[in-house]
Amino acid sequence: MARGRVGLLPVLAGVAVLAAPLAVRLSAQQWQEYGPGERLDALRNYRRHRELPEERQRQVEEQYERWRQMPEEERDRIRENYERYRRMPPQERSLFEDKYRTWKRERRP
Amino acid sequence: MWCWWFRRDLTALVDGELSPTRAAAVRSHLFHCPHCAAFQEEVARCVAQQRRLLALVAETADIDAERLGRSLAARLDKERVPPRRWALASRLAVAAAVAGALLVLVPALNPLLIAAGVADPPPVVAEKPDLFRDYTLFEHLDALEHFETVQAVPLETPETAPNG
Repeated sequence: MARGRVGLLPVLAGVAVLAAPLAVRLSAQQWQEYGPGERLDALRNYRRHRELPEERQRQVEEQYERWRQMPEEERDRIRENYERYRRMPPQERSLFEDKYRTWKRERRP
Repeated sequence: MWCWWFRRDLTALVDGELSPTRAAAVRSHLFHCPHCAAFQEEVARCVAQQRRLLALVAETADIDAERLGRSLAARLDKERVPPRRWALASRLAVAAAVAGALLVLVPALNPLLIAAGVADPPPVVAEKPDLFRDYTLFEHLDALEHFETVQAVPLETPETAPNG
């Protein structure tokens, strides 16, 4: 059994080695597909991200990883909500954020 | 002390070959320097004599004025004066100004170059482009996940707000 697991290691290492450049290529392709406006947004957000405290940076990166694990329908639903949030006037958006803080505080065990 | 700086331009001044700024500078020096002014008069007289002589030569019947003109032009081309020091200095100043402007502008232009696809994005952005494009979504993921519930939360009034 142990020998079988050891035998799998080179295979897994090989898969990892082959998959890494593929992931990089896919990301590069994704970037190429963005329009200039989307790219500027991404760069602006990147600058903002770097200015955040490390703890907050880590939180956002975790949220991103969680998002990637979500089923497609759930992502679509959240995307719709995101569009609703983006369309909110600033005052309404601020109100939503206040409500979220209240809800989060009450949800905390 | 600076007479040599102006004297070398006296012939060009008589021939009207100096830029207006340089001509004004030379004239201003001549106004203040009697030695250079006297020298300038000499230069002007020589140039006038040469012009008269050239006109006489050109009018002489057995001389091919056209050929003479061509050979003079060729000779002048061969003996073209190297760029003057002040011209070189001004070119260097322009080049330095352009280089300085580029140094200032390139970092400012960099996002535009990246957005236009001319330059590469930072490696972190290239690795996770969707993270940075939809950054606000991930910042508010929890709230967006529970959007309806959050929307239904009653507004906090001073009476209902928790103390502290």
